[in-house]
This record gives sequence, C-alpha cells and structure tokens, in this order.
Amino acid sequence: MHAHGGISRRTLLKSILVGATMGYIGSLVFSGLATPIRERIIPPRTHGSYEFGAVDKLRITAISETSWFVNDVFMSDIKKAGGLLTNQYEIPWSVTGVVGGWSKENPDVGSNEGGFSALIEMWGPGDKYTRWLLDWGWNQEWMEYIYSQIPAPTKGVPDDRKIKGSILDLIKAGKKGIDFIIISHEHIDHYWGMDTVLKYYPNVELWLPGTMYPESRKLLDGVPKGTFKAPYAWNEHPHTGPRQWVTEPRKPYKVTDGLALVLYDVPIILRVRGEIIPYVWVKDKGIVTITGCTHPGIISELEYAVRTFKGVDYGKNIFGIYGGLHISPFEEWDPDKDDLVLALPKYGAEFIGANHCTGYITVGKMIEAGLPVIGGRAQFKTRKTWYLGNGDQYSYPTELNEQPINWEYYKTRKRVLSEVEKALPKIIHPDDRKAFLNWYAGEEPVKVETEYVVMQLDTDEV
Amino acid sequence: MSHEDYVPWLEKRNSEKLIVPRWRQPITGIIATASAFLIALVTWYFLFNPQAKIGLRLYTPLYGYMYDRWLLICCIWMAYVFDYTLFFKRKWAETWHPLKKGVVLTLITVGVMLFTIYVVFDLILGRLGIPYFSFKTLKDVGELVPTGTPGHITEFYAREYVSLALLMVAAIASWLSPAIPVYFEYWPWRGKLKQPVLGATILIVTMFFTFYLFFILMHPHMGILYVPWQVFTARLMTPEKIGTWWYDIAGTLHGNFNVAWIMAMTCTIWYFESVWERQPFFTVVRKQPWRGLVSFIGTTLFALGTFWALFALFGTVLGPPTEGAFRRAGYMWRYLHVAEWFIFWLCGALTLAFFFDNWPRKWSTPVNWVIRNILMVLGGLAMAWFYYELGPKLLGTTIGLDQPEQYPMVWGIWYVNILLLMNWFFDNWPFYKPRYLEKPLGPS
Amino acid sequence: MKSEHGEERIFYWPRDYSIAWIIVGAVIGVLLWIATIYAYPHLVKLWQKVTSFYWF
Repeated sequence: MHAHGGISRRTLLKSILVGATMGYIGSLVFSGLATPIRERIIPPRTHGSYEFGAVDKLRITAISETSWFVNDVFMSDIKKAGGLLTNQYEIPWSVTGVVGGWSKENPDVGSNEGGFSALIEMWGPGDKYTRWLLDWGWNQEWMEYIYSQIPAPTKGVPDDRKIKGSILDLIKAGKKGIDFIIISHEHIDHYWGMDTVLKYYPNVELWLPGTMYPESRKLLDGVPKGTFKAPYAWNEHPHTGPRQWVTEPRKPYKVTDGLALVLYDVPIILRVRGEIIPYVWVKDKGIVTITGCTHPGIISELEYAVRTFKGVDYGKNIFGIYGGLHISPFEEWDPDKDDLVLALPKYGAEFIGANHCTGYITVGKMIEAGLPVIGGRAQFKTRKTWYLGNGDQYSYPTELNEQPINWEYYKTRKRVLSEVEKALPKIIHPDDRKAFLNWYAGEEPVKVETEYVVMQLDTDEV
Repeated sequence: MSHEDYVPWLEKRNSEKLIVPRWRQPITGIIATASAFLIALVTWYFLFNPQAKIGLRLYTPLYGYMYDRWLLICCIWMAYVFDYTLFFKRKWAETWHPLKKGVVLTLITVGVMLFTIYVVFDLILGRLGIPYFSFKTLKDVGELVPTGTPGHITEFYAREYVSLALLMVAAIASWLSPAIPVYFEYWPWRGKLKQPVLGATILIVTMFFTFYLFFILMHPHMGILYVPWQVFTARLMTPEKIGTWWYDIAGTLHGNFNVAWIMAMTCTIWYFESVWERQPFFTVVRKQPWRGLVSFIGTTLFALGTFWALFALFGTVLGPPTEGAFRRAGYMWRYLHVAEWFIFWLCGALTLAFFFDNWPRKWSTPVNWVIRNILMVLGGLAMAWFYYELGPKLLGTTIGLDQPEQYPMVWGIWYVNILLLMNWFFDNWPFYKPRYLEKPLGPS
Repeated sequence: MKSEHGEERIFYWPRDYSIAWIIVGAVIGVLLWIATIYAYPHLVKLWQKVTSFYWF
C-alpha cells in the first residue's frame, strides 16, 4: 500500500475514476440538456457557391404520370410477393383483367401498369434549344400509346427542331427530336419501358444513376422476355448510344447550361438504389426540381440546393417543383408529412406541379395550406385535376403554355373569397366590399394572363 | 431495512446465487449468447422476417413491432410486477425444473399478451371507445371514405395505425411498470401487501399513469393520421399556432419524438437494474422513498441528457437537421435513431448481466462499473454492426440507415425478449445449473 | 449504516474517497467529453471503413 499525501493509491485511483465518470457523464448530460450548448455542438448551415448557368425559358409536359392505375391492386401485388422489400424483378405484376386498368383493346380494363415520363424543353442561353425526356415508363404498350396520344409541343420551338405530330414522332426523329434522356432511377415505372423508345431511337444519349443494380444494367443491353419473373422486365432493342453514368453521390453534374444532375445514393423500396435529381436554373427565377420520384425527399433536395448552389436561399431563387414527390403514394399519412407541408412554404417555390407518387392527400393539404399548386385537366386516366397529369403542361413564361393553366391554388382561394363575399352583410357599400376583399385576399402573388383563363369554378365566380 | 420478509424471486435467485454457470466463464457466457442469438434469429425468421418463404411476416414493420413490445411488457409484468404470481405460484418458481417452468411461464405470458391486445383493446376499448385501438373498427371506419379520396384508410394502414397506438401504450407502460419494483423496491406496499394483490396494485397505478401520459404524448399524433386532422379530440392547434405541444421543442409533429425519449428512459431503468447494479444511487441513498425519488430523477436526467447529447453528436456528422425533411435529414429520424442506439446498448447490457454474471466483479465498485459500461457500449456496437451489415440477409430488413421501413428497435427488442425469456423464465437453462433444485429451499 | 440515534440515515457517502482527487477526475472527465465531441466525426469515418452499409 503506497502512501500518497496520506491516502492509499487505491483510494486515489478510485477517486479519480469516480470523478472522471461523474465529470464525463455530468458534462454529457449537461451539454445535452442545456439547449445553447447543444446547439453549438451541431455545425451551422453552410451555403454553397456552385453555379451551372441558366436557361431563359422552360416548358414541362407531363406525358404520363400514371405509373399504376389502381392503388389497391398495386399494393396487393407487392404484398402478395412479400412486401415493400421484395426485389421488383420478381414480383408478378397484374397485367390482365384489372378493372380501372388499360389495354389496347379496352381503355378501362387491362393491365394495372402504366409508366412515368415527362418532356422538358429548355430555351437558352442565346439561341440554344434543348429537349429531353425524363424517364421512359413501364408498360411498353401503354408507353407507345401515350407517346402517340400526347401532341408534341410546337409553340416557341425553333424551326429546325419543330416536329408536328406526337411525342412518338419526336422519338422517331432521333437527335432532332430528343437530345438526351435522363433516367432518374431504375424503378419499374420509370425504367422498364425502354423498349418503346429504343425501338425507334437506339442510340439516344442516356444519363443514368451509377448506383443501379446489375439486372437494370443488363436490361439496357437487351434481355429477352421471360428472363425475369416480373412482366415487362425485358428489352428487345439493345441501347447502342452513349451512356453517361452519374456516379458520385451529392455532387452536381452539369449536363448543359442551366441543367445539373445530382445523384442521391438512397436505398429505395423494391430493391432499388439511388436517384438522380435534375435541377434546372431558370434565369431571374431560380431552380426548378424536375423529379421522377423524389425518394430522397423534396425538402432534402431543396435544402441541398440552398447549401450547394450559389444564390439559393429560403425564399430566394427557388422557382418551382415538378414531378412525383413520393409523400403519400399509397394514401397513407404520417405526421412527418405534415412537417413537410408546414416547412415547404419557407422555400418560396412559385409553382408546384405534383403528380404520380405524390399522393392526393398531400396535394390536398398543400392546396389547403395555400401552396401554389398547379393542377391539370385529369385526362388520359389521370384521376384528379389536382395533379399536373397526363398531357398537362407548365411553362415559364406562361405564354409558352399550349393549354390553360389550372391554378388549383387560385381556385381554392377564390372559392374561399366567394364564400366570404356571400357572408358580408348587404349594407356595406360595394366599394367598401371590394376594399375589404382585397384586404382579405392579401397581396396578389402572380399575375395570370387573361388568355390563360383560370378554369370555371363550381361556385359563383368572384 | 425493516420490512424484509418479502424478497422477489429474481432478487433472491441472483443474490443467493441459486443458478450457477454450467461451465467456466466466459465459456458459458459465450455459448449462452450465441444460443440466444440463434434462437432470436430462428424465431425472427418464422415470426417477423418480411422475406421469409414460410412464416407470419409480421414485420410490416409496425404490426410485428406491436407484438414485440407487448411481449416485453407482459414479461415485465410477470417477473417484476407480479413476481411470478400471475396465473402461477411463486413457490413453483423455486421448485419447478427450469425447462418446465420456462415453457409454462412463456405460454402464460403470451396468453396474457394476446388477451390484453385482443380483448382489452381490440374487442372492448377499440370497438366501443376509440377506433384506433381496434383493427376491425378502424378498417371499417376507414372504408367509409371511398378509395381514391383523401381520408380513405386502406386495410394495411389501418392495421399499422392500430399497431402504433398499441405499441405506444406498451412503450409507456414498459417505462413506468418497472419503476416501482426497481426504483422504489415496491414501496410503499412492500411487506404490507401480498402477491398477487401487490402486483395488481402496482399494475393499476402504473397503467393509470400510462394512460394519462398516453393521451398527452401519443394521442395528438394519432389525431394527425386522419384527413382532416382530428382537431376537436386531439390538441393539434390553437388559434395562434399550428402543431402539437412538442413541435417547437422537437422540430417535428411526429410522436416518435416522444417514443424516442421514453425509450431512452426505459433502457436506462434496465441499465440501472443490470450493469449498474442500482448504483450509484442505491449506495448513496439508503431509505425509501428517497431512494426511489433520487434514482428516478437521477436516471431521468441521465436518460434525457444522453438522449439530447447523442442527438447533437449525430448533428456533427449529418449536419444540422432540416424541418420537414425525410430520412436522416429531418428531426424525426434522428430522435428515433438515438433511441435505437439505446436499445443496442441494452442488448449489450442484458447479455453481460444475464450470461456473464455482470463481469467484472472482482475489482472495486467504480472500476467494475466503468468496465461494465464500456463493455455494454462495445456490445451495442457489435449488435449495431450485425443489424446493419447482416440484417438484410439474415433478417430480411432493408439496407441503409434511414429507409422509412428501417426499425432496428424491433430486432433489438426481440433479442431482448429472448434474453428475458431465457433468464427470467428458463433461469438460463441449460447453460446454468439450477442449484435451487439440488437442495430444497425453505418456505418463502 | 446506523447513526448514533439508532435509526438509519437516508444518505450515505462511502468513506474511502478523496474529494480532491474526485475533483481532479471530474475535470478529466469533462475534457474527455469535449474530446469525444471533436473525435466523433472521425470515429464515424472509421466505422464506415469497417462496414459496407453506406451513408447518404
């Protein structure tokens, strides 16, 4: 036993150990509970400096957003095969006899499967005109049908690129029609429809996520029918064009001025990995996210823009959102989706064209929250006008639109205003009424050109 | 202490060393741990694995999670609250062979679990009172709104919502039920009430607080799941502000915030009871109810402080959380992930306590304590490595850290359940020898 | 542990510790926690090397 200032070594060591434990745990607990200290531990938000140029004008045509027609059948296919974690190449999807589905013979009964595809046109900088497809769908027959039904946009297209006809004619025209195709992710409904496009345009330039699984890479080189258990997982026309692989996650890849791709390496249901998110920068307006499924989460994608792209901040240079947002695809709900709806306004997007896997509950809540949701005409088997659905368009500037823009947001606000007006007592002078309504409506956010009329309301017009 | 005619079975068994390892330690411990793992894996395959060819595939994930948690709370009721007197006789705990005892106790516990879920909640409370406690009722009500219209609830999600409500009751109960036996050592009824009346009293008191807290902590979350928000039955907004009461503290409306800190508290009770051997509070405070109060407050501070400190540590790697973002970018996942780490450490803690006799014991108390905690942390790391690395293949779970279906707590608690069954009901048989059978014990 | 009045004390402080060295230990403990905060991101990188599940 060693003496050390009168105490044994054992006592010394025990005391130090007890003191260290109390100090460690005590300071751990204290720094956790004391909010200022805790917040100092977390690093602050950063802001980025990446620039990738800008386009002057933009037009988005939603060719097909109906990846599946009947939600219950889709869910039951998945459940029967083993749930959301099953490999998509092994699920026997329902291809016949689905009421509400589609087939060539009967547009109301057939396969439950459709597909997702969108056409994006960018003007600028200067005379440049770029036209590209986002994804190429699922059910090859449906894709051929919908491509042939949606007219190719012609308004504002330079003469050397103008093609009259349908989207299918654009594809058949090769490079004159489509400059390149961006594949967001290898999900069934965005990827398996490749045969339809490659049949006519096998050497199209492709941008692909480097995180794809081997089966999906094989599909590009040609896979005969029956190789995989799942229907539609085949391709009889191998892709022979250039393939640009986006391999590094969370790094912007500039495709052309005003278009940057970011790969998010996320695991996705049905054994899929990674999604590319295209960001388009519209001059004087800011970024537009044009997405297939937004599996990383729309707020994460906008936050990425805030922290990576120069000049983007909350309410600054965030112009719009298009595509599937994957919030309530199966009409399920959860409070963190409400978190999203509550947090989205601060980003200041000026238009939200949601469809596909966004879910009607989400869009309904966004409309109620006063977010600038653009709807559509509910055609070609899109169910509700709340979506920018099959064949619908949104363009900036709005003159480029070839159809009326359905500002769902405005419809709601105007409906609310008309109710308020009805409730005002009749003794108020008409000029005072108008002033009150203007005050109630708040500031006018966006001028809607009179040519592009807000669609007729069910209630009295204001 | 003055009122010592009542000694719970587990306390007696452990303090008098009525079970001893069959082989030298750490061999017994290693074999027992490996066996527990194997049993957990096999039972997981047939009960939970979502990719199993034959099995119930309960991991949806919330449906299986519910059973997982209810088994846990029923084990706690059986062993700690009722001290083996719930449809069982305390005497049998000391005289029956562990195999027979274990099988019977497991069956009783499962029976109690099924009764509570399907009769107390599903049949009565959910059907007559609140729909989200009954599978069929919520499904029926959810179908009143036609499919395709917001407000429709599919059968699958009706079951998930009900499972969520049920598992939340179990989660709060698992936190509060051991509090009286562990912190308060059955005060104020110890020695004054006999089992099973003592157990029933503790059960009633704890369930009272459980339900009271359930309506404050989880009911608002349940009110948000429907379209529209059930603003008249759950406090979801005031004229000035939208959101649950925890929205400003947590940055999320989601009830998982509350689940997470409750899990932290629950795990801490079990650290306290196992690797901490009720120290340091029981050494420093000697009388009830002060022991109970100081322990409760002390462990609560520890749990909440560690919870928030870990949340901050995660922020150093993941960056500041973003409101409204999904997965690891958002608040909700991070809170849950902190709780998941507490569970991983619980796996380490209970393994050390049950199969390794809380090694080490030979040095001075603080040294033993610190070493055990370090081992617990390492054990948790090993479990986390197993779950994330091998889980996709062996458990059928998804790859990645923050897939929305990723719930490591389900596996963690399942492993803990197996440990509890093995130790509390089977007395670690066959890895430990039941010395109490070799010589008969006096009347207890 | 009985006091001279023959009833139990509520609080009991174990005898064989030195307050001074406990305080020294406490300071070490606090410093260790601060070190943990700085070391944590590096520890995570190390962890990522021995695992194959990827981060965002």
